[in-house]
Amino acid sequence: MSIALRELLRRPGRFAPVVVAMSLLVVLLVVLGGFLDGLSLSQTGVVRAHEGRLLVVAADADLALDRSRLPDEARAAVAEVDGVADVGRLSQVTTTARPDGGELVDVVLVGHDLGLDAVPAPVGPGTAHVDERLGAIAGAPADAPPAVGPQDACCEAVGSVLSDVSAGAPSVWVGHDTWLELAASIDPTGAPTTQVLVVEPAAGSDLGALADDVRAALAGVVEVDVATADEVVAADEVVAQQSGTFQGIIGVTFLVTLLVVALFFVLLTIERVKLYAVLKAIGGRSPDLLAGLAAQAVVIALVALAAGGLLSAGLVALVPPDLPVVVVPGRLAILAGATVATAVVGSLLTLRRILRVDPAAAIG
Amino acid sequence: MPALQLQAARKEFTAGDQTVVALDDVDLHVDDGEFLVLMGPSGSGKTTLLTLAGALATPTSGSVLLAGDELSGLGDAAAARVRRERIGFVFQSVNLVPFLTARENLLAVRTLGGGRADRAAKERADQLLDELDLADRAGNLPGELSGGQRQRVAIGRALMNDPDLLLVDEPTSALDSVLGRQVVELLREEVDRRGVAAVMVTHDERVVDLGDRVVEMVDGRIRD
Amino acid sequence: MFLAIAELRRARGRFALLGAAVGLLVLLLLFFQAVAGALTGGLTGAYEQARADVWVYDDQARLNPQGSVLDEGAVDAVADVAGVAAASPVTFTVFDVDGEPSAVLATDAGSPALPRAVDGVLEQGTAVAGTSAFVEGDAADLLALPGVDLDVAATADGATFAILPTYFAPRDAVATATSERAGRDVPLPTSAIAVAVADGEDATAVAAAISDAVDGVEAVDRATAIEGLPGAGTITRSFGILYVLLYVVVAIVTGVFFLILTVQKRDALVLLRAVGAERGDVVRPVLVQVVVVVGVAVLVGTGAAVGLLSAAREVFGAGLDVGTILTSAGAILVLGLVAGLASLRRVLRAEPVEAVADGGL
Repeated sequence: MSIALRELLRRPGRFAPVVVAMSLLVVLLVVLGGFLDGLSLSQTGVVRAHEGRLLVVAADADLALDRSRLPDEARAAVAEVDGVADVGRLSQVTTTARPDGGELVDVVLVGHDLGLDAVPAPVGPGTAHVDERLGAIAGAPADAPPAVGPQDACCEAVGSVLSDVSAGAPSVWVGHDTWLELAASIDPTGAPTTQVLVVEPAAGSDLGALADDVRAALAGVVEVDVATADEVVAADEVVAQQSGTFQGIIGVTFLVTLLVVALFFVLLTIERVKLYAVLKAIGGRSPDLLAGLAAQAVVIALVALAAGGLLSAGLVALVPPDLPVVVVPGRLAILAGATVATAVVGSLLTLRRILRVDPAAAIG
Repeated sequence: MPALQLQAARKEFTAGDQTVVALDDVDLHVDDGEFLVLMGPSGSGKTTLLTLAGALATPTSGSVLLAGDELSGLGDAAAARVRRERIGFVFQSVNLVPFLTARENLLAVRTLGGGRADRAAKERADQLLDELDLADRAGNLPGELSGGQRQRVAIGRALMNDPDLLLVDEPTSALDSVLGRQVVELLREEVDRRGVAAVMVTHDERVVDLGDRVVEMVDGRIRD
Repeated sequence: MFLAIAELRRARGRFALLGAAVGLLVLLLLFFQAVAGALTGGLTGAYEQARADVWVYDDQARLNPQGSVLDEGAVDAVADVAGVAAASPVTFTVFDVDGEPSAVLATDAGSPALPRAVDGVLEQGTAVAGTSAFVEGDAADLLALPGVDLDVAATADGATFAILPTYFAPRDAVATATSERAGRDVPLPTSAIAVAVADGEDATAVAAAISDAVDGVEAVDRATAIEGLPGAGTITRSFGILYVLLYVVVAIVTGVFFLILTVQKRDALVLLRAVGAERGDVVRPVLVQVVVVVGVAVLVGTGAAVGLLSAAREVFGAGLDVGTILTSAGAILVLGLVAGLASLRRVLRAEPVEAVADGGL
């Protein structure tokens, strides 16, 4: 085992301060990443549930689904296009629900026609598939009727859906006709209509070509944009701006991590100038010393990741369920890799000092 | 061929706008198996001579030859290699790596420069520790050893790579007279056993008799 | 002072590294605060600028004005409660204005819901626009709603709702527009009642009285109403977690730095005490260094934050107020001082006699 790793094992206390500082920075990074993913995932769940399908949106809505209004005849027109296996309506509105025996909570009421991987097709009028969290948030049984909207109307809960398909609040999925009735009671001034059409492509269809055909079929009815779920998510300005902001903040936090590691290793190097002079005098090279520092940086980063990871898990568990924090494994892996890389780069900022150590200083 | 040869070796340092001549055209040779004692007051150039002999610095002019190979003009990497493979240092303040055991301090020399502490290295380390009467202290950290024991570990480290030349800087300065003499006697034994050339810088008159030859330096020159 | 400054001069590099790390953390902290402020301002500006002391909602609405529908007669019932000086119905709607979804708050002239700056300006046939740097788009000169056009007579900076361009318009005009949009006569519901309390009355007490006296309503004071607006509480609490983490990181990083530095200087510090320095002579240089390094870092970090926010004003909107900057900067300086002092504990425990003990290898 190298000299550097032996030092870590035999003198762990020396490295404790930087491990503590880095662990906290890891917690900050995980929480920031959690907010980044939580915000974007929680706001786009309804759209992402439609992966593999096309979404038809009024052109003046700029792919913002809740601003889109489509006429009733659009659905029939789309159904006649070659390559369309099925077409259904999709609309959503924010409202409240009071599950039987529970408290009033914010929900997103989603009206749909088609079944999805994540959401079964509507069973019938007056029935709903309810977010699995709703009961817990409201303090009610999981199968309690959600009692949606100002009139506490609707529905019988016939099943649950994962909270992945939320849109800023727990979701309640009902048949679209039911949705139209409920939306009218929620906003009497709004005159609710279909917001989006969902196109289920026939097997083997080319989505791009199908999108063009659908657009053309609706040319005489209403001007539309036809997009995939990913395109709609990417077009969400609010989500894009939030993501950009948080990514910038995460970048700055990595810079702070780099500086903290660099600071620690600079101080360590200063303290060990004499030792480095001796090692150089007996034949050690600068690359040997730098490799040792880099190895220590990797170990420190790994320990900080473990400690910070545990702390983050605890912190996230304590965060109230309505705060949008979602820890995604992919993001954690990226953060972990970037943390190790940052620590290594930080340790190598001692390069100049190491090169300047004069082996002759070991004598006399 | 001498183990070490200095030919008109000169070393100048610039201090502000003044030039200090630390070594003034010195000629010196040390043969294989010879134990040379280098004495002189502070500032006489002894340490500078040691740094040139140890490829720790290059002369301003003149040459330094180690077993016939020119050391002046070597690049950093080449000089490090020479120090690693052909020169053994025993420093004034011992300078063991404080978080390595006695055995690991010896093995560290083999791991420098991309090397490995293989079986042969471990056997050699154990053999040296045995010769230095430290076999039962092999697993102790320097902080757990006495002053004399630490100095012996330093000698073991210096001999680990079977050097052509041993350079010893004030080995007794941190030890009492009894221990100090013991350490130099040990050095003497190793020089005789291995036939390695050695240069010892010291102020300590009490150990001078253990050398084969005494050279005095004053003001950067060897006193005739 | 001499020792502190001498060391700062001699070891510029490492102090600069610490300063850079702390400066960046300060930048992050102030940036978070500005973004949070802008986000919540875009959500709550209309409420913050309104004269209303109390807001009354349907008790099912969870303080969400867009989810609230009040019964007819609620306004009169609220107006009859003791302590109420004025009660005015407000309807929160969203219309497309110049192709942009915009919040349209239907209320009466002189309503407590109107921004304080333009109070009383809402004449028939006119509207008031609320703008915010965080909300995209400029206020239109003409509020063109379905079936009715209104001249925008005044603008209130910051008076936005739901991070949308916002307009305050007369109730009858908005009623016309909603019926026109629905294609049939649609009565304009009341989302909320904006209440001004009488002089000398406590808003919280009046709110409680209204909730008790009127069936089916929930009345809250202005602060509670703002906190209850959808998203506002979430933003405040989310950023709150981030602030705490940042403060802790600043304290730890500063403390760790000075701890390592102090341990490295331990022998020198013990020696100083051996030659007559008092504990204060050892403590003061560290405090001076913390103040200098953290102080400079705070200044540079603040300057960078202000510059960044100004340059990106169109994206991030409002900047920072002086109070926020001073509070945050002060908190970081205090944390740094505490951390720096903590690092000295170890050294202060050492006795001066150790300077003459054999301690080295």
